Amino acid sequence: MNEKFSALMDGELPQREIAAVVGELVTSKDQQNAWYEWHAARDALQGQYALSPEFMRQFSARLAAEPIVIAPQQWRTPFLSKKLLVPLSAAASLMFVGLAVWQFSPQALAPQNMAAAPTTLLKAAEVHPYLKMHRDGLAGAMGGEVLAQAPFEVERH
Amino acid sequence: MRMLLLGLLTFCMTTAHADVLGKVEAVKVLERASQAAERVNYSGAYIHQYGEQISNFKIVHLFEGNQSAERRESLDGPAREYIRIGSRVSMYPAAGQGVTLDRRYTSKLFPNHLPENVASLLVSYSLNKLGGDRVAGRDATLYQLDPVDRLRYPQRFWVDNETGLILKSLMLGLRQEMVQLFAFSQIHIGQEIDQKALKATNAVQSVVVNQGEGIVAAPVEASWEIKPPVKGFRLLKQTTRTLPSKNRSVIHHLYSDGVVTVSVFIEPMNKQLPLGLAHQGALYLYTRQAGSYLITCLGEVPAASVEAFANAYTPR
Amino acid sequence: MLKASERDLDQELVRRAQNGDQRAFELLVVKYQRRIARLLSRMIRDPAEIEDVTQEAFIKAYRALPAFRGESAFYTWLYRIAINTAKNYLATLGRRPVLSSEYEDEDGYTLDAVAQVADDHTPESELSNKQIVSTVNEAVDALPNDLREAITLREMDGLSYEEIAVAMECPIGTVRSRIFRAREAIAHRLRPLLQGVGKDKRW
Repeated sequence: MNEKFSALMDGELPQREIAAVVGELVTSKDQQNAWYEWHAARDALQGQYALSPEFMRQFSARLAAEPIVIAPQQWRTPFLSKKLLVPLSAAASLMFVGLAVWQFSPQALAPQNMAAAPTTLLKAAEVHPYLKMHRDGLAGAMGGEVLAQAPFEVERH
Repeated sequence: MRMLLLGLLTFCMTTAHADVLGKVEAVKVLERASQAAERVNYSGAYIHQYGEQISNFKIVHLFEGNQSAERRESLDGPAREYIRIGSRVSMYPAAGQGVTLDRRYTSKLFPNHLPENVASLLVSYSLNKLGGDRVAGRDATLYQLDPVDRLRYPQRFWVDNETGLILKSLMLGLRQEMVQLFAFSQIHIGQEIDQKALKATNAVQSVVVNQGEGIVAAPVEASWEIKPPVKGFRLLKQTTRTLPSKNRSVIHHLYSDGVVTVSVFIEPMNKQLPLGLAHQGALYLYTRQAGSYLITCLGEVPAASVEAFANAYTPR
Repeated sequence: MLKASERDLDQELVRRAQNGDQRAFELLVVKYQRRIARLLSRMIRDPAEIEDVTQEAFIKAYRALPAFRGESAFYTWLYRIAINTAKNYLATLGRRPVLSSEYEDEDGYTLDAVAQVADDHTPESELSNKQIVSTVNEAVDALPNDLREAITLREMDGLSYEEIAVAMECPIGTVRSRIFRAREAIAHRLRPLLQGVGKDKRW
């Protein structure tokens, strides 16, 4: 049903449907033509400035010559962040602190003793060898990690 | 040539209109994508992002006679090059002495992300169609592999409408955050690829490619009773190796469900790593003592998964 | 003023454009092209220059997309870029506005350069623009009453579907359907005027 594209144009689609309908719009040449025609009609009725019919064609060509923009955006969960990550549970989790240091609390301690728990600082260098073996193992079905991290090394005989 | 302006990417598309595919149709979609990676001629560039590390690669792929060939070259960072003609591989920088690559690695680099047996994926995931989107200037359809349990993360991939080729592949964490991304930034599909495009620009050296033992369901260790840890995961590799830059030898079991990998390490007990659960982003780590041994489990899977894996091992 | 839900539409197109989809950006340009041109026509006189600077403004907006974080509506942000593009253009030509006074356009935006009416289109573009406008008007006049009323209330009076439903004493679903059918009917008449050379061309 193409009526939804008309509602989209008027800002009358429920918010939760917008992403999906826009997804259809950007992949449908017919709907894009309709988008163009409907806006031409709207602009004519509203007395907007009358651009030459060549305008969009010329603009498309100019835009195609521009480097594709990809915008930096906020990470939800920073990886290898220098900030403290929230532990999963006070008693049984390890925390990453920066890149150089691990901090942990022993598993066996009861929560009420946490404040008095001794903490031991470990080097993250202890974790990285396991991570490297995991990554280098096969790169799984994802592929590319080994290529992305020099040197190439997968298996020794 | 278009240069890509890079930054960190996040992903926030809603899943308002997920359309679950029946098994037969899901297999069709996945097989088409799997075959396209092997048979479609294409050239372009792609980015790989993991955490805050972003790398750009140039790629050329062609299928001729009865085999496929590809060349990849890094566009930033240290010079890296990878050329595969059929199953013959050469690389720069050269692999170290005695190093081999596993065939299951060499044949599974982006965009060839799907396993050969796509039906096996559907043990662990259902396939959902999320909608239309555009990648690298091409119309695509976005699918999501939704885990059947809470023991792995969802996986999204964008499939080129015209050829079925995967144009973008994204691993999501449990909170819908981006964990790892591969995406074409530009691509030309289907045209004639000049053999010259496969010529090395660096001093590549050939690498031995191990045909691999094939996937077995479960590892076998004389001193260990190993229960099947998590549904859908099968053993890809079982080795004993020296832990990099350490003097300790560990047994390494590498599992996969067709999408992600999980590693289990067994070694004599030591105090280098404290016991318990940790995470760094979507990567979880769990260590436990079993008898006089230390079991460490690690992977891009949720906490419950690494715990289940580590708990599946009991010394005899 | 933009309704909140129209902002959602713009945000979604912007988000896709920021993730590498140039077509999403083109759809925004299609939506705002004439509105921005009208804004610039108050600062620049020559129609060819108005079109050039309008294109330039959209290109500048595209390049600046990484810096747009959605704190304001996209149109507000675009508006400022367009004004600055025009000012810079005039400055490089050593032109100054003839008069200096405050103007407000229908959305309440204040212009601080004078409006110079663009009144000398070239004969060809003048003719085709006139044709488009008259075709649209004829098409609207030819609509059945309920379709004409719905599309007019929407496009010229800016009423929401809910407001139109009250005005026309019908359900919102009917409003939505009437507006859609009106658009289709008008587009049908417009199509021959807007068609590109090849069948495959967009715009």
